Amino acid sequence: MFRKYEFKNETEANTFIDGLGVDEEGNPSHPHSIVRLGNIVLTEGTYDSEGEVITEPVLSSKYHVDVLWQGDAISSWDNKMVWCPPMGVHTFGSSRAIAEWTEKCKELHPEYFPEPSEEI
Amino acid sequence: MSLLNKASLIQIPSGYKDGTLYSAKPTNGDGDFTFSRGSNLAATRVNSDGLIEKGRENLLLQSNQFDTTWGTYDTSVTSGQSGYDGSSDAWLLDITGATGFQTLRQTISNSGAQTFSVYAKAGTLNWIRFTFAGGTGPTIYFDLQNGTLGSVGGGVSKIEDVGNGWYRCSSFFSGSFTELRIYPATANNNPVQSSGNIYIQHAQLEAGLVSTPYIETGATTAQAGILEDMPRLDYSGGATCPSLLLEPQRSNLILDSEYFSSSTWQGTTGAVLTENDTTSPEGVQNATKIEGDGAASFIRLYDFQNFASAGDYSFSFFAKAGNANFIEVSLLGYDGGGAANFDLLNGTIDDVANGSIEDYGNGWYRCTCIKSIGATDLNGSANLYIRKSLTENWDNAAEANGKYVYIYGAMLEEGSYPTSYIPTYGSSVTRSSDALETSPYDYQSQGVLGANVGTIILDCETIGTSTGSNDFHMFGEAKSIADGYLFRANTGTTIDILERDSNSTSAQWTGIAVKQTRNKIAVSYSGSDVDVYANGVAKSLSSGTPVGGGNINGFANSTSNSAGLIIHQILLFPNKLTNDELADLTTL
Repeated sequence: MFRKYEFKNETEANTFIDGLGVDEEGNPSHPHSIVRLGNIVLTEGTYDSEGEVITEPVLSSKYHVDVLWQGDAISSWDNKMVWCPPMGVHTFGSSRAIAEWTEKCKELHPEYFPEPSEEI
Repeated sequence: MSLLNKASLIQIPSGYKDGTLYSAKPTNGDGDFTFSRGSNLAATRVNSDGLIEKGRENLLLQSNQFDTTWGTYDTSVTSGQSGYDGSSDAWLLDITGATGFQTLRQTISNSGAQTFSVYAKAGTLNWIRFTFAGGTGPTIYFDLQNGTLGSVGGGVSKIEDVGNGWYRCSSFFSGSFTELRIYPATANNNPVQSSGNIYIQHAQLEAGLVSTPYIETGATTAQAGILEDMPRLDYSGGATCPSLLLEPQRSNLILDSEYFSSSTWQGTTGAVLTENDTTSPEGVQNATKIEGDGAASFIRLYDFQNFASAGDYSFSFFAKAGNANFIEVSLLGYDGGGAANFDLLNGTIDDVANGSIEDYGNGWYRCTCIKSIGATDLNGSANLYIRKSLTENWDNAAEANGKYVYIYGAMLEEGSYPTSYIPTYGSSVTRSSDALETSPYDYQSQGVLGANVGTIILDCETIGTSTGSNDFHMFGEAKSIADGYLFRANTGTTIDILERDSNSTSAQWTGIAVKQTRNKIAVSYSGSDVDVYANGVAKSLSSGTPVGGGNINGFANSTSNSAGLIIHQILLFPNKLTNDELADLTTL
């Protein structure tokens, strides 16, 4: 199961992630796939033809993490879960996980899935 | 008698299915390994034809059952028609009303770079129209009488003659939509008619820039190629025998790895892009031509990337020479950024300290720039330039005009070496770790290893130049680093073996082999009598203070602190072998 989360900052994210388990060498001992997206870009910057910045990109003040859970998502993370129009800036390369996430997203946020018009 | 006859387990990667890697011995299934990754769309391999093979999926439901799931609006569908493939599986799509909405539709929410295809043949009408509805998708017309495209409305479309009046009509579109529509049409830009019909068969919606061989679906989508938990038997480098590829988790940070005209790329300078211009390392026509347009003295494709953290980053392109053959792949503007320059005719890089180049056949090379990015500046650009030579840019815009190369498969990943290609179609994508393990942990009762006695032989090669301490194998009591023998690529250039006992290291043999080369490594033990061999040479004979491997009952590769690995062979014996036998079995 694939879910997206938003934390106040990296420190809070680390607390949640480390809570999933680490071995004696500090490596994860849990089976879940964690991807730290960090402060994602909300609005792209603009640049001239030479690549010089015209306007800086706007970054989220939140720290974003995507998780591919081995099984169901852990409920203690639920109040950090967020949804966005598919698929956001990141996804996992799993057909099953993408299909499940999209179905759930459509159920919770139908506004992200506009009905097609009937124009010819 | 061959020494192999004495082995209790022989694993030479060859037979597999989704979730399982079969062992040649034992033959009753006891020695088979379970395999998981949970990634199909992000996993690729080089197959026996030397081509990059992806996980593919037909995202449509009931892909050739047009009276189920599909909706008809002023149309009817009739099965049992003669198809393009000699079957009677085609359908007649007939107009039954005149509202102007005469369509066959499937509701499906999808986004990113994708291709919709249908096999079609003229009936009483000569045209078919596709519409990606519910977003900004295009409408495309195909002429089924002359085999030509009509109005295409954006994206890249193609009509391919497959014989007997049948055509495969396909349209590539990058964006979001919520419904796919098929219209019988009278003429280009004319969907309004009150009667008439066409024939259709085998609809497919898939990620990517081109249609690939049809995958039949029913009540659920269907996959082909690399499946979620399929072991990847890889033939890279022209290998005639496959090896098992085990890689750590990686993410491709490039949002559109094959669609370079996507708005997710910042853009080009002095260049024009032509999608689907030639055959890629995948073996299909989805590589892009990047050509100087004479507007600038340099030819550049670029994207701005804000890295989440400092670390090593690898940025790679597959590239093939056109009428130019020098390219620069670079990470510029970052703390620690820089460039690597490549010669696509001779397959060389200016300095191996800047990255790597790998031959993918048919003139294609994977060119990688590797840089250690510091925390001072995590914002910069990922670039591809066409250059005049390894050291020179073009003198002026006129000189750059018309110079081109072909590109495919961009990948930007955090890590000190490139891993197998991860395709992306609108979002960054993560491939989870490959996980290979014994299931259940029962080697001793199966007789594969003895109680406190046995021999482990690994024929393998670590991938990449990581300077971290990464584990690649653990033979133990269970899937942990608590008890057993741990094989570790150390922070230097060599490989160590650690004997673990009750969560601490009871013995360690360091520098027994060199990373990034093929090694045959053996640990043979009987109680505290432990011999270690590598590549035919004794590295340790009954020395140190090992407590022995008595608890070893199975195997797992590391997935949380893993080194990339290629496995050629695993051999296990239920007894301790002689020095001559160990030397023989570990000689390359």
